[in-house]
Amino acid sequence: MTAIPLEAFLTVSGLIFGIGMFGLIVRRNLITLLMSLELCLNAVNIAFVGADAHLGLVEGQIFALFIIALAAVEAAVGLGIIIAIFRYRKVESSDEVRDMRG
Amino acid sequence: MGIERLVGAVEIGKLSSVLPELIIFTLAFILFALDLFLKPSQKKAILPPLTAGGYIIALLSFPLVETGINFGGTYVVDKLSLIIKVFAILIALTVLAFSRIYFSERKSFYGEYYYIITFTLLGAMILASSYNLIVVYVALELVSVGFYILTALLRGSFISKEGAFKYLIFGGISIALASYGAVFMYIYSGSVDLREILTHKGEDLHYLILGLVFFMIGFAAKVGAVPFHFWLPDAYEGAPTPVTAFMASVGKMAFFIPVIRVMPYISETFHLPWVLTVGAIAGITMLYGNVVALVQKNIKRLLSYSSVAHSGYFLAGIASASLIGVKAVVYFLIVYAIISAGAFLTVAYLEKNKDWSNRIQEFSGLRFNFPYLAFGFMVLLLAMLGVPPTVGFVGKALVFTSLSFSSLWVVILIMIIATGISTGYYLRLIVLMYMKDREKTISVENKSIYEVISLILLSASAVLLGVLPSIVWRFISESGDILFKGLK
Repeated sequence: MTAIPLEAFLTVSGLIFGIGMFGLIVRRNLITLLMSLELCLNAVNIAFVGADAHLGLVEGQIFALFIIALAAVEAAVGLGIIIAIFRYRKVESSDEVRDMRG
Repeated sequence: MGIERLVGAVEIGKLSSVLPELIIFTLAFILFALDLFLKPSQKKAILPPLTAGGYIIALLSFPLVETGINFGGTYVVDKLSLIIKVFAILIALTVLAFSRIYFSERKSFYGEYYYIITFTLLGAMILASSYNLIVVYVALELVSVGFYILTALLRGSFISKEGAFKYLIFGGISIALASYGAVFMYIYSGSVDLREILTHKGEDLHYLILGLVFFMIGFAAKVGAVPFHFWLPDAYEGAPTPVTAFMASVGKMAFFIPVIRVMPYISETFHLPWVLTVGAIAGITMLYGNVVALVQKNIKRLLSYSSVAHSGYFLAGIASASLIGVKAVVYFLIVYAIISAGAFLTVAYLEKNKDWSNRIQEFSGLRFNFPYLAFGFMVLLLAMLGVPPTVGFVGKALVFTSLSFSSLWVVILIMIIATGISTGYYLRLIVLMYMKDREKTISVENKSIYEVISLILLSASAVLLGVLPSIVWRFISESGDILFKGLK
């Protein structure tokens, strides 16, 4: 079995990270913003696991496990805040969440 | 090689060196359990004194702490981390003094507040002594998630939720960027220990550069340096004011520590690019923060932009990439934590008044109603400005010194201009308080002795540490030497 080169992992993870960043910049839906954030963190996971396959170590996988757990925490808190925002105002887009300016 | 090291990390090290963290950790879980079982009326009576008591016990345990590297090299207890931890707990105590009445008056007294602020403090303490990227990541998330929740904790306030959501998105981006940087550093060196990464002599130097760039962008976003600062004023304005005080002081200290730890190693290999990039970001941040603060109408927003500008001052000290720069930044961070906590808590005190709207004009003639409070606030503003007998002067003078040793004259010039601009808004507040007449009388009911004591302590230490900087400087000086010489 030929090993997948490190560059392949990094390309995939770079693409996914870029898609996540792109989503964070152009999308306006609050939940889509959270999903894009998760995409960025999961791109980091792919890169870590790929790096482990290349280096033959395990620390990257441990790091990826921590990222998976804490990304879930962040998503939970984010969804909680979105629900709190929805209770005050039926917003659909992040353009409507801008009481503070200047 | 990896698995043996990880198994080694599991064995329990010297517990005496993590005693304060253990106390705070235990306290957080006790508070968590009590919050489940107590009645709402009991919570108000039990949780605040218990939390404060736990913090005081943690403070008292510091003389027992032994310095050293612990838990298989993942956790470093040195003088730098110890002094940051002591001040983090002290400032958390002053924030606690304001919390009960502030949240009760707004019908937002939640038991969650006490254990979340305790966990956040624990995260800041862990962040202060971590060299390992996994520990940095977990501590960073612990602090950040705590801040998101604390920001959203004000019932009936939409801007509180709005600030929390903006903070969550930008905080998430910054953590994603920093951990993406960690990947490249890991590929470069095969290690997640910052010291091993930065002392590693590998051939794929581009991975290290890529990693450091992402890592530093992540942390720049976390501390609110200028191209990535959008969240900071909104989060600080939306948050309950005691929480803002906590974020602006303990949060800022904690987020800068990993950058300070990275700096000595980088200064050897990448001296010039480091100086150029960090110096440029520092200059833009100082100018932008101070110019935008000039036109603010809301006192919390004004102090937030002043906080952005201060991030620029810290980055300027970091840009100098020298021993004196490390010491200057650590001193300035501690000093700024004290004065920003004092300023935000003064605002929290004034917000008890029913018609207080946080507008700048509300400060006119404040000395007639609150002579002592106005004097204390003036001292804190002068300290932020950097007027001689106060701590701000010592902090800024140290940063100037470190910059001049590295011959960064452009950054010095920008810093002088930025400080000149900042005179505009700090002095305007002082003029309003002392030279304008009172339009309406305001009064504060429901004040507690703890609030008064903590405001007096913060204002007094803003002067005391400026007159006698050696009280703190002794510890910082030794810790800076250790950072540069490398750990044993």
